[in-house]
Formats: sequence, structure tokens, C-alpha cells
Amino acid sequence: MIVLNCPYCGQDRHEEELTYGGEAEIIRPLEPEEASDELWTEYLYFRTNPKGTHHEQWCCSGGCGQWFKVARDTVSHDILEVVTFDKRLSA
Amino acid sequence: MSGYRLKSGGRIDRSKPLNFTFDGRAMQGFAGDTLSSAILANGVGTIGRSFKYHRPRGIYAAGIEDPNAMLEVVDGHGREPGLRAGQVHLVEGLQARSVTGWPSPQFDLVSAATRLMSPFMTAGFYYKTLKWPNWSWYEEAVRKAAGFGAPDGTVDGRQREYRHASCDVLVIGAGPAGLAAVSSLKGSGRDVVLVDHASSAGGALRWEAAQIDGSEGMIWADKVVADCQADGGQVLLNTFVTGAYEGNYFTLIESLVDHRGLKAERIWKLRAREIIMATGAVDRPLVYQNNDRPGTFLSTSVRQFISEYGVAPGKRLAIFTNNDSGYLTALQAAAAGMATPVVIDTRSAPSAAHVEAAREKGIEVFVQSQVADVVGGRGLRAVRVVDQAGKIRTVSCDAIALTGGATPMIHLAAHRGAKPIYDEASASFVCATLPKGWHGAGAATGSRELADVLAQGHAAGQAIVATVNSAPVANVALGMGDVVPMWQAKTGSAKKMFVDLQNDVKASDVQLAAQENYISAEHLKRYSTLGMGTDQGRTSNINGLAIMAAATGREVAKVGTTTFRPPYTATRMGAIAHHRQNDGFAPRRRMPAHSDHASNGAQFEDFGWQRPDWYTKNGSDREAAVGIEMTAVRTGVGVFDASPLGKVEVVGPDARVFINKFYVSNLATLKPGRIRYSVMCHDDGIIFDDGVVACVDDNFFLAGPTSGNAETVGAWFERWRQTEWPDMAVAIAPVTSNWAAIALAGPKARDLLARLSPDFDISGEGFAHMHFREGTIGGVPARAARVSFTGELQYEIAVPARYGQALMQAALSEGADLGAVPVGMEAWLRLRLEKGYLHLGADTNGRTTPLDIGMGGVVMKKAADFIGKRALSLPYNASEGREELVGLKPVDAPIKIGGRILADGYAQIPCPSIGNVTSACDSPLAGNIAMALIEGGSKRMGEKVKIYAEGKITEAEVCSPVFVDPQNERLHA
Amino acid sequence: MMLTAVSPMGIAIGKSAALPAITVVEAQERSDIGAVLIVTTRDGGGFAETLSKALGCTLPLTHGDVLQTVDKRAIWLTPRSWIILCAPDDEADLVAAINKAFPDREANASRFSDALAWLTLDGEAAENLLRQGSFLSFEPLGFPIGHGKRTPLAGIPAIILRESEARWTIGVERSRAQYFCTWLAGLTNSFEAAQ
Repeated sequence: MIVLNCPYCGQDRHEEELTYGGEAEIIRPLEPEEASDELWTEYLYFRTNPKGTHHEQWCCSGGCGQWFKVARDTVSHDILEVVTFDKRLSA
Repeated sequence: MSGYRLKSGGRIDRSKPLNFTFDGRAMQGFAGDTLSSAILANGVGTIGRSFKYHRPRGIYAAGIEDPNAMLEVVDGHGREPGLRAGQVHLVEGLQARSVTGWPSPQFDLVSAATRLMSPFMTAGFYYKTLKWPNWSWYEEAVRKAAGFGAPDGTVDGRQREYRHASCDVLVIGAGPAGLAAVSSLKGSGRDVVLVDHASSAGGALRWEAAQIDGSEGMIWADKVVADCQADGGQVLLNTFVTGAYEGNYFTLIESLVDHRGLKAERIWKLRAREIIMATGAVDRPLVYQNNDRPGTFLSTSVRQFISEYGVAPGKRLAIFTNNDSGYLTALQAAAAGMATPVVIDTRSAPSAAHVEAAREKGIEVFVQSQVADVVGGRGLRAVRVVDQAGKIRTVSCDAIALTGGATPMIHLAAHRGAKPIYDEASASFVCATLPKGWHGAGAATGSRELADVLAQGHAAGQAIVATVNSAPVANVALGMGDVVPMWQAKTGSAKKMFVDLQNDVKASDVQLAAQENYISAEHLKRYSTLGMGTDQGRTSNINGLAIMAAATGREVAKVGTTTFRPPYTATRMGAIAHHRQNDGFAPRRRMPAHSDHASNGAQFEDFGWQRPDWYTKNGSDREAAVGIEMTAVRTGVGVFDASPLGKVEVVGPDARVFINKFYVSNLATLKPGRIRYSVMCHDDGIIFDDGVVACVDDNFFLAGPTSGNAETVGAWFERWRQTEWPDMAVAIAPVTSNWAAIALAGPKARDLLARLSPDFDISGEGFAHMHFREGTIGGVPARAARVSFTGELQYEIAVPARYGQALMQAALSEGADLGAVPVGMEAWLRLRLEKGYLHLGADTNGRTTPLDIGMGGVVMKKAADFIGKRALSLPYNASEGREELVGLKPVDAPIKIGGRILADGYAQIPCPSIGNVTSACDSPLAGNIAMALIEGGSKRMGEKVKIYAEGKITEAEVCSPVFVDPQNERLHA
Repeated sequence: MMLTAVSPMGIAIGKSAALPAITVVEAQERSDIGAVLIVTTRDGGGFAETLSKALGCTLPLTHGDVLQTVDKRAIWLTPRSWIILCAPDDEADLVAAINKAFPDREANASRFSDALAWLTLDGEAAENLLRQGSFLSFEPLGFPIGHGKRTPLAGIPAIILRESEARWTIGVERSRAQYFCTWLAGLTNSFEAAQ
């Protein structure tokens, strides 16, 4: 049962108040029509799935509705870092 | 068997006798008894039969670790088929029954039969018999013989509560370690929650003789609790911590017992910053021949029965031990006035102080000795003691107390992934590293002496916050000492040595598992069912693992343990369900005119919202009513409640650019007051919603996602705005539930709309198909769209939800002479099928793209990027032969929804399939019609295909999906 | 023809009425509460001044804050949205005033009185009842009197206002009002009663 402190509303939000949004920092190529099939497939489907630190997108869906980024250890479930969506994770 | 109530002693209230029954026999106990202690005090020996072999079994322990004492219990609040007797508070009038013997545990018919079968019921029994020769030969007999009681089908009326909370420090266990931690935190300002499963704090102090800080142990305990409460701490008794989860989040179950029994339960969902794990330990039994006979007890439980409940488990006690704590049991038995007990000690050099204290009381001690067997079937009469030289003596006794050391209760830390490691000194598995924020103390960490336990508890408190409080000082004569393991008796048959009493797993089963190469802890568990019972192997796991270690020539540490998972102890489904039963099961959503639908005989179905499927007002059965509803729409006017349809306002200077990124159709050119239909994809090109978009003004678009996706689409817009286009000047307002909406559909829809007093021009030219208007209807603010899901002249009118009921009533009463009837979902969906309109999720699946539903032309015309566009040109999306949506007409028999289309050239199944029927119905205008997704469907017009459904193969012809009014004359009327 | 209005639980608009099925606390349906939803195209600060002027009420800029005037309460929802509680009759005027102040819809107001059903719970036991259905953001220290929050309650989205120690006003989606009342009516308070 993950608890995250939402960087927008400052509240501790329980897992049931949150929505998980997959891996963070996935870049959608700016010029889709110019992107190769390989690049677009990479963007759509390929994820790192690490054992250890994982960068994730979460939404405070039950609260203030904002998306933010989280670094989470996939083994211990420790939350290493939480940042607003405009920032990059350093953990 | 001869348990009895001691003349004095115990923490029971002898002034409050309580009557109860066990298997119909009237018995008496006292306030403060558990069902276990009360049954024992009444001299009952056999309380049930074992799981596989139906051997007689008796009360074995005082608490939830008892693998035998599962009973059906009826109290003043309800009946439950299988409760742990040690956990049931005795109340007046309680009825308890055995659940494992038939017709009774004393005379068990199944036992005779299973005795014949027992050679077959070894480790891997289920694995082997499910494969060979034929499970069904055994099933009936096994099912009858197995299990712990059956529910009687009545609804459990106990009250349930939930509580969400948090605290600074959660102290789990109110024994000496937990209490030392609480006393260490006194005055620290920390918000403490102290939890214990017993009805009073004190843990082992409730039955052990110990002085702390100069007073009797329980007086000290009561003072610590009172101080904690005075400090603002919360003390939860009768409460189990059932699970530990990430984020130091815990589930607790608190029981509220009144004079009639278990009245209510409360599930706590508690989050704690720091945790003190002072969960204690339970005795580990010893494994010897016939170690399951009634009259066999865990040693600490015997002390608990004597000193907490004033119950002697037998007239003369033998104690079988491999550590000093067995002597404490002997001394307590002697002090309680029971016949002088005897101690059988496996060790060669027990503590001199303990031996001397025992001999002083005349207690005979056999050192370097083991129990080889017992005498007595349903009740113990004697034990056979074998010494180092192999000499066997018979010692008469009617009860035996076992201690093979203590098993620390590390479950909760293990729930969090803490790894159990083997500790030589205590011969047990402990958690060397605890999760973040956790502090271990007491017997849960393998500690065996009270002084250490108190010091650890104090240190745990100080580790959280330093205070001036000093550590409690213990004064106790004798302790437990080191444990010298004895995992399996040297003498006797492994086939009669029980390791797991609840699942009837014997030492020989563990050895067989080893022989058959199921040697890892997890394989052993599944193959032999060791530790898989409701007691979760509390008393059996470590013995089983050690026997496995011996059988495979490994150290115990190398075998490891199985994974502990929540719940810590069996939890009532009712407590978890809370209010979520009957109508509370899922939050039902009601449309504003719900009660009007009900009074028209709506047969509601849950489509996320409670929606009428059809109306009994229109016909006595579904087919008749649906036919009338469809005909009304085609010939007069139908009134359909469309309130759940999504309404998402997209506003701002960039609203147009923004919304154009979501739909596959070009919205850049959509003029104010106009509407366009389109579909929306995920970025992989797969359709996930469809609907219409209205341009209210250049900075205001109103999207109408499907009912089921109303919230999802609003959130989808918002996510892209926040994460991909944060600089776009756009805002999203999801307003679905603010508006009630009805659709008027049919050739007389305009006549009906006119009677609802719109303040705007509704003529065919003034309000043409795919136009949007704002104004008033019936004197209230309204949004009107001329769109059609039925192929008829159709208006969708939305008014603030408070007027929804009145609008529905007005439409039906004003339209009565036009033939207006309420139309349900089924008719509505059949009407759209007649027109070949897509029903999202039925006619599309997780692979369907806009190209597959005939929207290729629309996609091609749109120059701007949209979500999903690029993926449509990926090779697998652009390839030939994909499943495409087409119509089907029957050739020989009606088409069934869900039917599989046979691949070309096949006339029989099994064969490859090239698609499936996605929608099918009988239409009053077009007969039997269907839509299907078929590989290369658009190129198969006129082809015959074979369909397999419900065991039959039928034939159909591929056609255009538009079955009614292909020229759209009705639509533009 | 003139359509008539009813509240989510079937009372006239502009009134409050007791919900007798809810026994542990005093519960009322509040159809005297109307609402406007404000959304903006940039984070709040930028438009706060213009919005406040149009509204006649200052907008809070942080989570939990509820700013109040005689006839309005402004609740922070997200960095770009607020709910304004007002008299039901004032809804149309407020929407018009805001949308007039922002002709290009950089900020926008939507009718929202009908989106939510409002209930007031009054009584010592109210907090316990709400704790049966809501999460961590519902801490005693984290929920001061006068604050308002959005959080799931009883499995559905809700806006919760703490008006005083024992008085709470809760908004749930209108379509779920019946469910929510049934949920409240099904709750017990046996533990507190026993003590």
C-alpha cells in the first residue's frame, strides 16, 4: 500500500487515491511523421522494467488531479523521490 | 482425559458463572474464560477429528496457535462454522460444536474408512490423485472427510466498522517487551497506538511469575497501560494486526465482545511512522510417536491454563522439554496443587538451578531422555520414556506438555519482505534486519529471558526518541535458557509422528517429499501441505523444515522458510466486506429520472449507471417490449434517457488545437454551432472511445464521450494537457453529472420537441442534422444537439439535472398522442445496429483501429497530428487482411452474437478462425442482422462465411452493415 | 411549459431537509447549496485577481483553504480549478460574470449546482463515520476546522468541508447521492456506544 506525498497539494495520498501511469520520462517524438517505425515502436512499447530504482508517473487522482513523477525501488517499495511533472528525477 | 477447574487461582471471575454447551452437553465456565479453557475445565478430551486420518484430537494450546481447536460457535449475535476456541470469549448461552467428526468426534464413522485409505494419503496425495488414476473416484469421500465446518447460508448480522487512522508509533504486542517500549516513550509527545490480541495487556505476565520494578508483573503492566492512556495513547485490546504493507501501513481487526458474544468488528487501516514489533513467540512442540493424542499440550499454554484461567489440563502432567522453560511448567503445576509432575528433558546437562528447584518440590526429572510413545488412544494414560541407554520406562500421566523452544512471531516483518534467518542460540528463525522504521523487541527477536526482553523494549523506545525514563527492572527466579534442538525423536515410527497437526502431515511425509525431490521449503509446503492450514503452520513449520534438513543432509539454515503472507490470522470475510454487500457492494449511480423509470416498469441493468434495459409498461416480456420500443422510434417518437452520456467542456484560446489532437476527424474546420462524430485512439492507434464533439464557440468545445468513458476521457484530456502540452492555453471541465439528458428519436421527434417550449428555431432548416443550440426548454437552461444514434430524426436535450425528472415526465405526457414511449438500452442498441453504427467495446476490441471500421478516408484527410495517427502507418496496423467491421445476413439460421467465423475452406471445427460476430439481433424492419469483425472483411462483400456458435455451424453472407435507410432520408427529415 | 426542479434526494431546491435513515449523527440534505466550477488555462495565480473581482470573493491558492464571504465559499480543487459554493439562484449570475470577464475563456465558469449533492453531518460521531470511508488525508492534524478537501469517501469522489469540530458538509456526485446516503445509514457506532 503505497503512500505518496503529492507535490502539488502536499497531502499524503494513499494508494487508493492515486493512479499509476507507467514509466516516467518516456519521450513522445516531436515530429511523429518523421519518426521511423523503430523509433515510434520504441516510444510506444519499450520500457526498462528494472529491478531497483524505477521512474514512474503517478496521478493524485483522488485529490488534486495532478500528475507527478516518483522514483520507487521496485524491490523494497521505498519511495526515493517525488517531483512535480516539470522536473526531472535525480534518484 | 481429565482436565478440571483448580480450586483457586487464575484471572477469571469465579463470581460470574456462565452456562454454555459443547456438542449439546451443558457445561459451566466463568467470566474471563475462553472457549478453550472452559472446555478443558469441563474434562472434555476429544474435541474433533483430524483432517486426513480422523484421529481424535483435543485442545492443544491456549491461543490461536492451536491447530486442533476449530469449532462451530453460536453466540447471541450469530453462528460461525469454524472459530479458534482460544480466541472465543466465553459468554452466557454460547453453543459450541465439533466440526470435524461425523456423527460425533467421539464416535467417528469416517475414521474407520480413512484408516483403510491412510496409506494412500501421503505427501503429494492431491497432486498424485488429481493426475492418476481418477480424482473423481476419491472426490466424494475426500470432500466429506475434509474441511472445518460449513456455512449455513444465513447472513452474518454482526456489525462492522472501518477506521482509517495514523500514529507516530505502533506498538504491536502488549507483553513485557511492548510495555517496556511504551513506558520508555512516556512523556515523549509521540502519538502511540498499543495493540494486543488478548483482552488485557501483559502478555506472558498474565501467567508467568515475575516482578517488575518491585511490583507484581500485572500490576506493572496495568500501570504502563494507564500511563499510556493518560498520555493520549490509544490501547486496542482484542485486536489483531493482520497485515503489514508498504509505507508502514497496517490492517488491524478489533473485536467488540459484549455479554452476548462477538457484537462487532472494526477493521483499522493504520499508518505508522515507527513500529515496535513485540509480537512474542509460541511454543514449538516436539515430534515423537503419537504426539497428537488428546491430552497433549504446548508447555506455555499449560502455564496459561493454570495461571490465567485456573484450569488444570490433567491430573498428572508430564513435561517433555529441550530447554529450561519446561521446568517452569512443572513448578507451576506443582504450585497449583496438581499431582506431582514429571519432567523429561532431552538434554544431558540442564540448568542446575532449574533441576534443583524441581527436585525440591519432589518433581522427578529424567535427563537425556525422550518420549518414545504414548499409551492411550482417545485419552492419554501414560508415556513411554526412553533414556540414553535405550531403557524404556512407562510413566503414568494423563497430560503432556511440550516445549521444543519458542517460535518467534515474525510474520508481520516477513509480510514486508524481511528475510528470516536461522538463529542458533534460540534454534529458531528470526529477522536480523527489519523494515525501515521497525524496532524488534522481546521473544519475537529470539530473546528468552525477561531482563533482556525489558531491556530491548526500552531500547526500542529510546531509538525512536530519547527520554529520561529508565528501563524497567525484572526480578524473576528462573528463565528459559538455551534451546538444544531435538527435531525428531530417535525412537518410534515416523509415520505416527505428527509435524502439522492441522493438516495431518507426518515426519514420514516430509521424508517422502525429500525422497521425491521436493526439497525446497516452498515445494515441501505445497507438496505435503505442511503449514498450509488456517493456523499457517505456527507450531509445525520449523519442525518440518528441520526434518527436511536432516533428510537432505543440510543445515536448517540452508532450507530456509516459506513466505509469510497476510492475514496473520484467519479474518472474517464479513469484516473485510464491511458495508459492501447487497446494494452497498458497488456504488450504484442513478439517473435523475430514476424513480420515473421505475414507475414505468424499467428493468434496470448496471451499465456503470442503473439504466433501463426495457420497460414492462411497453410489453410483458423483453422481446415484446423491445419490439414496441423500436417500432415507436421508427414510426412515432421514443424517449431515451441519455443522462450518463459524457459531457466534457474544453475551453480556452487553444481549445480547438487541443481537441483536434484527440479525435481522428478534422475538427480544425468545425464551425460554432456544429457537431462532428469521431473516434479517439490511444497513441498505439487502437480506438478507445467514440462520440460527438460540438463547437460552442471558437474557444469552447463540448466533447460527448460514451457513458462508460465519461470520466476516463476527461482524465485523458487532463493528462495530456499536464504532461505533454503544459503550455497550451486550455482548460478541461468535466460536467457530466450536472446535466440530465434525454433523446427524442423518431419521425415525430420535432413535434414533441416543439411541445417542450424550446426558445429557439427547431425547423428542419433552422436546426439541421449535426447542429448544436443553447437556449431554454421548458423555461430552463438547455443544450440541444441534433444527432442520431438511431438513424431517425433525433434530438438530445440536456437540462440541469434538477429538472431531469420533470423533463422525462413532460416528454412522455406531452408526447402521449404522438405515440411517445420510454425506450430502454436494448431497443436503443438494436436501432443503432440496424443502421450499422458502432457500439464501442462490442464492435471494437483491443486491436481495432479507425482503419478497421471504415474510417480510413477520414484519417487520410486529416493533415494535423492526432493521438494514434503515427501508429496507424506502422506495418502491422497498415497491413492487409486485418479484422474489419462488416455486416452479416443469415443464410440458413439466425446469427448468434459471439459466434466464430471459420477460416476459408473449413466446414468443421476445430479450425482456424478469421473473426467473430460482434453484434446480432432481430430487427422488426430487417429481420435477423449482425455485425462482425472479419479478416479482410471489406473485400468479402457478398461472400458466404461459416459461423460456429453454441455447438452449431451456420452460414451467413457478408454485407454492408447498414440495414435500414441506407440513404439517410429519415436522419435528415 | 415550465419544468420543476427537485434535489438529488427529492426535496425542493433551496431547502435543507433531514435524512432520518441516518441515525448515528444528524444528517441533512442541503439543496440550499449551489455551485460554480471555475477552470483556468494557467496555474491559478495569474488570473486570481480578475477572477476575484468578478466573483466578489478571493480565491484560495493552496490545498485545503476555503475562503469565505457572506454568501460564497471558494474551495481549492487543483492548481487550476475551484468550486464556488453559492446560493442556487446566484449560479447563473456568477457564471455570466466570470465568462464576461474572460471573453477568450482563459478562465471559464461552468454551472455545477446540479453536479453535486450536498449533505451536512452534525454530531460527535460524524468524524468516526467519515473515517470509516476515507483515507490518510483525513488526519486530525491535517483537517483543521474551516478546511475543505477532495478525497475518495466510501469509494466515490467527495468534497469534504469541516465547518466546526462536529459539523461536516460533504459533496458527492448527484448520481451517487442515494448510494452515499445508504452507505451512511448502514454505518454503526457500536464501539463508541460500548464505551
